[in-house]
Amino acid sequence: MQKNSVNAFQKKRMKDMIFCLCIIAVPAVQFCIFYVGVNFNSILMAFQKVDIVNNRYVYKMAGLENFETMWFELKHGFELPYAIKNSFIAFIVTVGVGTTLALFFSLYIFKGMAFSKTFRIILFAPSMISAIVTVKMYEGFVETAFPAIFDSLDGSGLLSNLDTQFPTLLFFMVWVGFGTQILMYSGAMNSIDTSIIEAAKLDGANALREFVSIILPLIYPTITTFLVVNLAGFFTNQMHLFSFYANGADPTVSTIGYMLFKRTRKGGIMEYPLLAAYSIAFTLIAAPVTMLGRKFLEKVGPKLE
Amino acid sequence: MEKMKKFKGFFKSDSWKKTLTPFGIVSFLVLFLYTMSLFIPFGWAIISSFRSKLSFSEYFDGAFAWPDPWIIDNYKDVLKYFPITLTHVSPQRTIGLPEMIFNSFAYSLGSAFVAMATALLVAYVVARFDFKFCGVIYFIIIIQMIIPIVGSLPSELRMARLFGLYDHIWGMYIMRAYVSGMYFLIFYGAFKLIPKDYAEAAQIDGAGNLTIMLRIMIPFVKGSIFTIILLAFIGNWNDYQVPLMYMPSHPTFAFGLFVFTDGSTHPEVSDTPHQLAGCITMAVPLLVLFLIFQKRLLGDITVGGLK
Amino acid sequence: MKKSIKKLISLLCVGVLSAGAVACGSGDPAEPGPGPDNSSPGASVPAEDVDTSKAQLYISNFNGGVGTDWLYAARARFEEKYKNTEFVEGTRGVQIWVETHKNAGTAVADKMPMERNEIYFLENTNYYDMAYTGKLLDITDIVTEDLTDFGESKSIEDKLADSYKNYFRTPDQKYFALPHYRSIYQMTYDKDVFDEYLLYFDQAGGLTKTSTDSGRSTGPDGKAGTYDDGLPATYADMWTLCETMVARGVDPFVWSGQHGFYMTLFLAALKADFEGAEGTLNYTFDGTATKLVDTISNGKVTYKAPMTITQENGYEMYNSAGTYYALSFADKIVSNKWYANVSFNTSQSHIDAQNSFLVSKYSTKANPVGMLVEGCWWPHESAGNFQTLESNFGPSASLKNRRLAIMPYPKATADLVGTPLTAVDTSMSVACINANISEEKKELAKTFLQFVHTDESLVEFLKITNMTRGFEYEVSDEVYNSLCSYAQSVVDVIKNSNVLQPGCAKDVYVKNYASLNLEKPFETGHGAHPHVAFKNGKTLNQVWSAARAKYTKATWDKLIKV
Repeated sequence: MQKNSVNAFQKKRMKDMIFCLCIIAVPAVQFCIFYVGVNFNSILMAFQKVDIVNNRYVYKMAGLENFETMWFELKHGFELPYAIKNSFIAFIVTVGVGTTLALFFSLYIFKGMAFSKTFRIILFAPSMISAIVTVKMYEGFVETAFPAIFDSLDGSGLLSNLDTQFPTLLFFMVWVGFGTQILMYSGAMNSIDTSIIEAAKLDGANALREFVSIILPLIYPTITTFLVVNLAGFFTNQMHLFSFYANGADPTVSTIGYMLFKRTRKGGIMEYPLLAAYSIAFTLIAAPVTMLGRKFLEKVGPKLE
Repeated sequence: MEKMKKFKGFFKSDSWKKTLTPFGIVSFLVLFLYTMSLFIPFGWAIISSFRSKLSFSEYFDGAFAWPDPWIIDNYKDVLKYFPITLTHVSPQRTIGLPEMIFNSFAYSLGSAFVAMATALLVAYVVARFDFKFCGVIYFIIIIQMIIPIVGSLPSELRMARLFGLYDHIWGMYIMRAYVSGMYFLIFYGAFKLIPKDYAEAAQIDGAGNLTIMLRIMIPFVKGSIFTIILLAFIGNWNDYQVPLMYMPSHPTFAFGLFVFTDGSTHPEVSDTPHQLAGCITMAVPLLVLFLIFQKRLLGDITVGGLK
Repeated sequence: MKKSIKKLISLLCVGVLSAGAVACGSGDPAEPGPGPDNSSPGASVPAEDVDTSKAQLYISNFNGGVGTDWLYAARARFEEKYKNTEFVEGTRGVQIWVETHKNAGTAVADKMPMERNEIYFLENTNYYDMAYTGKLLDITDIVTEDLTDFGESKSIEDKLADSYKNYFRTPDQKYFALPHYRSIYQMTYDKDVFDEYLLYFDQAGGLTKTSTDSGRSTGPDGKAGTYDDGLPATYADMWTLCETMVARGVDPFVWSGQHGFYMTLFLAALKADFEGAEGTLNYTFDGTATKLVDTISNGKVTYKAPMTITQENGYEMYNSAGTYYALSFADKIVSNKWYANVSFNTSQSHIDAQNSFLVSKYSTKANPVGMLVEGCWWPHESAGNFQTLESNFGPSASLKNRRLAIMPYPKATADLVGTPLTAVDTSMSVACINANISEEKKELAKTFLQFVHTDESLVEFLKITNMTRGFEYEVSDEVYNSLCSYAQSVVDVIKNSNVLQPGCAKDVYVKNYASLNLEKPFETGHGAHPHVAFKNGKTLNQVWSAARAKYTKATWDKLIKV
């Protein structure tokens, strides 16, 4: 009898396994070819260097030399420290300001307050439009309108003034970045069973309590997802710098993502090994942080009362 | 009088009553300012797009002046210079706006669907089964999301060429069949929230794995499916780099805008009014489409939650 | 109200859309669009069918400021000249296809092995990356053989200036590419404005002359009766000129606010002019440097004793007085506000800056602008600007008729007046053949490449683009007289200059390409560009101190690859 049930369990397990493998097969093959196959060399390069032999580049093993150089740049370069600092600021502003505002806006929409449908469309609109367009309009406006209005700017716009350029870029990042979050949060809020909220109201819960104790816990998985995505994107966030300045952004406003992208574009093959080392190092930092971050967020999240 | 009544009635409406709380008023003001901050540059851009290059110059009327006269020709020029001639084929062929828009739809919709479906299926497996490899897949997806890859373009191109995917729109579908971290996480979260009992009940009724997935589980995340297709669609619609590198014979609308806004490709239309006219031509159809379908698109969507 | 707002938005959108539709409807459907080249104004080549009886040659051209018109002209002559030649078995004559694009650097190099294009004219390339990864065909044979087939006695190599030879010829004497066009950052001035405001120097150092007056000063070349008479000979003269301009109601400079690197590359050009032949030490690290700064007090530079520069002490080159003087030039202009306001507006593209320079003299509300800082290719890029001007202000506003000219670099110090001008080519442009070309097409491609390097083709290139290429060739008086004012000044300046290609074939350069480019000495951590740093209140001393401290022995040893 017991044997039978074990057998049945194993059979089911086998069936499940086959089912899973069938589903995973196509993406797995695709991944092996177009990710592992394509990127294998890029990763290997972190441990190599390029030399010239008979009019040809040849790759030689270099051990950890690139990582040493990277460490050296970290101590002596002037762009990297700024890039690290700015990436932090960008992350904190995205999460602190962007997400908070998005949550409040979503709540506003969810509650069906005045013009909520119109606002929802408006908040999503910048996401619909190509960055080429939003950047052009924003740039044209802050660079042309502001100097015309404020004489104190002395003719130069907010993006060309070293004191104002970083805040201006941060503002832009938040300004155009509501779409996805609003979509996700207001969707999640809409899916809350209204009877829970009604019941809370009957119990005399005020709006704040309702938000903190009911809505926030219920949409918390969605927020976690967004935070994890942002955490994972820490080293790739370019803060739209390339759209604004192409290769020529001020080092003091650089981010890690922008710096890597720019150096890859400008440097050529000789620079690839060092940049590959950067990639590996950043991943080694970001991967555990992201994993732990997710675990942490799941643990500390608000609980439904 | 009649109007006045309506006006008063409006402020008595339910939505206004709800708004008259400290939270509502502050939020309303912030949202109102935000709306203005979008409308003013956009309005400025629309007005400026009808101005003459000379008048726009700071040596004449400057950036803030009313069009006088209104230059409709700026838009005519956009239509004239927007088409792209494929110079890498013989005979050379000019792609007009309609074909570019078609390419954009074919590329954006198809790729969005594939990207969604891949993330959906993989997330389902990882979220619902407890095989060891599920954890491994989760880890790989997170890593792949984080790692900035350097200088892989040549091998990527080589691979696309090797498998005959290069320069085909359908080829892009296959290249896009990878698991995007964000989409995966959204589906993963959604599937994790569905109580196990649903599937177990169905299993007892004799339903197989496939039936459970298609009939029971996937309908739960229908909302997320639409959202993700929408997000992926918009991302692809605005993307010009991938079409530029991988499908040069199928220029998309975004690619057209990229070429158009590149100052030295069309010196005749490189001035700000023309550029703004190009940007508006690009943005408006999408906004109109969005307005028409916004109910469907932003309607009853659920992300990472359970209805 | 909600509804009406929505309606308003939709109306607004529909309005714009229908404006587009009206424009579309009224357009002539038979109008051939912008022409197959998709870009170059004026060059409209009718759609052509493939003629299989002819050999097909595929060419890729970077379609930037230089445009593609010059290539269409060469194509027409080539097809005509070889209409009866059998390059490929079973064909007669040649049909050439030109792909125009804006891909530079790795974006184009990465795709070369999978493209059908056989010949490439590119800019912003990393020549050695392309050559040493096997993407370029070895063209040593056609570079070194005499062009007797074209009625010339010299080889392409003979025409090639030494500086370019040192760059393009590999250590084992092979060529994989040739330089394409020379791009040099310069100041362009408006002779009309200079005449109207009497901005030419007299021999006493006053600004009292016009371009046609006699008794003008001798200019930076120190010789009377030459093209630069009356122009500022030294930086000090330049300050006098700018002060006078402002006093007389002229804005001295304008440059692109969006592309800050234009100004930085101009400073690199001033540095190169100061360093002269010694400037090659910046990448060869092989020779004696005599212009390294020891101390500076009150703007007075004291030099170090002459020093032998090797790869080991290459960091010493960051002490070059050339960097200091160039920085001082930017500092002076910026802190005195000798520029038009738009120069610091990041939405002001290069084409907008060109427009400001061109249009200012017609303005009734703002000052005219005297000088534009730009790359020498700019007039061709400004075709749209000239078009607008011509339609508003008549034919005198065309490029052909505008009296524009290049201003030779003033000398940093008075003792250098009379020394030849040194310019630096910033384009990193190449003309080359794809290594994946089929065997049967090699002869055809090589012949075409030789063809565009005949004197006739090089002169035609000058006539069409107003630009020169990195070769030595004669420009006859007849041709010179047919050129516009701007192009004539290009010829004048180039004739009296040494143009440096800022790189060489030595491994140290190839391996450290990214660290040794022209902008590097000016990357100081104070703002993206020195002029931006000065605008934001940094002092010359701060920026210079950062520039000279860029490398120490320790950082040099670690960061420069050997």
